[in-house]
Amino acid sequence: MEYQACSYWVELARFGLPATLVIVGWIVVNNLAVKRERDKSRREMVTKSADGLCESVDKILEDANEYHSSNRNKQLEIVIKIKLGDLSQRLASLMSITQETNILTNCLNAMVKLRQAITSKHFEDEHISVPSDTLIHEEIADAALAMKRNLVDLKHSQFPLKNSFCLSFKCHR
Amino acid sequence: MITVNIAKDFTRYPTGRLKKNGATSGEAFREQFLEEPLSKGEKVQVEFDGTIGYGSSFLEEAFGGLVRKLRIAPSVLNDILILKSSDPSIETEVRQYIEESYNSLK
Repeated sequence: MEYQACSYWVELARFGLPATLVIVGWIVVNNLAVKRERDKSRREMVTKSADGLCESVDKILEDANEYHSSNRNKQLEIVIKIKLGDLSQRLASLMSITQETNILTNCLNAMVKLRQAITSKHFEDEHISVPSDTLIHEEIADAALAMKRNLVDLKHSQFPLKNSFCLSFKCHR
Repeated sequence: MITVNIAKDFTRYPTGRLKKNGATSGEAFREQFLEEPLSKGEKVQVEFDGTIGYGSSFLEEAFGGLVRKLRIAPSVLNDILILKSSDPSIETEVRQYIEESYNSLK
């Protein structure tokens, strides 16, 4: 009787243990694959967003240069403010899908500087046009470039050379 | 606490720095909604969402101008002035103007 019970457990272990290991292994591998896919999609989304934001900065730069080179244009003022607000909101929404908080903070600070460069002086007042080589255009260009640099940093941070294997592999190549 | 929603209570089109630039300027907003309650130490919550956007000239005159006029220290003002915006860069910019204006008074 005792021998039968013992052999029952041996048989169960012989077939049950490998089956259990296979199932647990499949769950682990599947979860890792899902996580990897999700991370890949997230990185692609951040990269695409950064590219889109760079294009928006270029368009804002064009509008700002046009605005500050001509007589007051109230329609263009509204367009610039809407575009700046949109850029800022899109940047802020990236905070929910990426963990690079330092780079995003730099982007937000660059966003503030860009808005200041475009809208703090010679904006929404009765002004005459200014020639294109004045300081205001330089400040706007500087702020736009700084913004784009931060966005490129954000994009590159999605594909870091994380471990020594990657570094040594790159060195050997 | 007084809540001021700029889009509902003031305008959806905040424009310019001074009143001579228009009735929806930063100066007009400051005089109409901020100066009196904040000078008495009342809490004011300013909600920024819902407008078409803000120029820095409006923000600087409204909030930097507030510090220049009332001479309130940022440590005091930050306790009684609550800023609400879905765009975090607005709050960063406003707090920056409050600091800079106070430093310029020294």
